[in-house]
Amino acid sequence: MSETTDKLIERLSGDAKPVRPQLPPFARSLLILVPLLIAMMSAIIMRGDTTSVMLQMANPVFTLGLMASLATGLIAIVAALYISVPGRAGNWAWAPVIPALAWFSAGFWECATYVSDNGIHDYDVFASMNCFMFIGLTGTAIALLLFAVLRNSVVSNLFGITALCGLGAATLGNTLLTFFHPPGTNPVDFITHLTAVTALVTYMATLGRAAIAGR
Amino acid sequence: MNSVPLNPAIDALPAMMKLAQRARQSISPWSTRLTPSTGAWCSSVQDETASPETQSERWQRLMVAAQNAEPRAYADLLRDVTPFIRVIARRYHADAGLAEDVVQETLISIHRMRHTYERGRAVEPWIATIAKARAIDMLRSKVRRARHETPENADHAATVADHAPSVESTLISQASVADALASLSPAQREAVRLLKIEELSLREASDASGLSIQALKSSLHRAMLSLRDMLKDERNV
Repeated sequence: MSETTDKLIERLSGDAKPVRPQLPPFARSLLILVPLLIAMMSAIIMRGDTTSVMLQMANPVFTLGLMASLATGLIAIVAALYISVPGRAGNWAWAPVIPALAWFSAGFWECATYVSDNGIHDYDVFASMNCFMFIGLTGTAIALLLFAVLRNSVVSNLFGITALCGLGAATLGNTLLTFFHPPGTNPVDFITHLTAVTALVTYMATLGRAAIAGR
Repeated sequence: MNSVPLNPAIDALPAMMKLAQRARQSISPWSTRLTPSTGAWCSSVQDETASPETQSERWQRLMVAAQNAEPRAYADLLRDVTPFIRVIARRYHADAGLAEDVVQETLISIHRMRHTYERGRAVEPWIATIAKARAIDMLRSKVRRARHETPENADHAATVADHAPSVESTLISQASVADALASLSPAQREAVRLLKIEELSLREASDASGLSIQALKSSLHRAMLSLRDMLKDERNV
C-alpha cells in the first residue's frame, strides 16, 4: 500500500463521526410516497372533478390508463430509490416498463377510438398547453422532493436514477391531471402528455444529474 | 459393456477435478476465514468447531463499527478493503498511478457514503459498486483531459526547458511558500491543505475537518489573500 493511501486511511478513520444508517429503500419509498399520495388525494378531493372521473371509469381502457399511469409513477420512484443504494440489483430500473407500456397502449387506444368516432380534423397543436404546464409544474415539484431525498446518497448510475425520478414525477403529475381535466383523450392531448413526460425525464436526467454530480 | 480401465490416472480424473475445485474455493477471497480472536488470515481448512469469521462477516462487523465511529475498526476496514478495491481499479486502469487514484477516490466515497450501507447486507457489492463508479469517473476524466491536451513536441519541450526555474530558485520559492503557510492561522492552513493541496471538494473537506462549508470557503479566501500578499512582498524583496 502506498504511503499516501495509508495516510488517507489514517485521516479518514481519525475524522470518523457516527452516522445514522439510511433506511432500507422500501421504507424510504413509503416515507416519500405516503405523504405524497395524501397530498394528491387532498388536492383531488378539494378541487378535482371526481364525479366525471368515476363515470368515465366504466370505460376499462380509461381505467387501465389511469391505473397504469399511477403505477408507473409509484414503481419508478421505488425503483429509483432501490438502484440508488450501492450494491442493490440494477434490474429494478426495468420495473416501470410494463406499467408505462400499459399507460401508453391505453392512451393510444383511446386516441384511435376518438379518431374513428370523430374523424381526423384540424387540431390546434397548442390546445392542450395547460396540460403541459400542469404536468410540468406538478412533476417539477415532485422531482424537487425526490432530489432533496436523493442528493446525499447517490454514488453511481446517476443517469438511471434521475431518469426514473423524472418518469415517476411526470407520470404522477399526469395521474393528478386526469382529475382536473375533461375525461377522454384526443390525439393532441395524448401527444402533449407524452411530450411533458419526456421533457421532465430529459431535464431530470440532464440538469438533475448534473446537480447531483456537482455535489 | 464393462469398461476396462486403461489408465488409473484417467479414472481418477473426476475426483482430482473435484479436489482442485475445492482447493480453488478455499483460496478464493470470498471463502477466506479469519480466526475470531486475532483477526489474522488463515486457511479455511481448519477446525470448523471454532466458528471462524468469514471475510464477509468481518467486513460487515467492521462496517457497522465504522458507522458508529469506532476509528480503529474503521481503519481496519479501510485497510482490509483496499486490496479488493485495487483489484477492481486495475481492471479499468492499467496505469498503477491512476489505479491508486481510483483507490483513494473510492476510500473517500466510502467515507462520505458510509450511511448508505444497509446493516445485515454484504459489504462487498456495496464497495464494488462504489469502486466501479469511481473507476469509470476516472476513465471519463482521462478522456476529457486527453481531448483538451495537445501532444508535446520537441520545440515545446525546448521552450519549457529554457524557461524552467533553476533548482535553487525552486528551493527558495518552496521555502517562501512553506514560511507563508506557517504564518497562517490553523483554520486557514487546514483549509489550504484540504482544498488546494489535497484537492478535496468542499463537502469532502468539510467532512474531513468538521468545519462547515461556509467556514472553509471564508478561511480559504482569507488564506489566499494573505498568501498573495506575503508572496508578493517576497518577490519584491
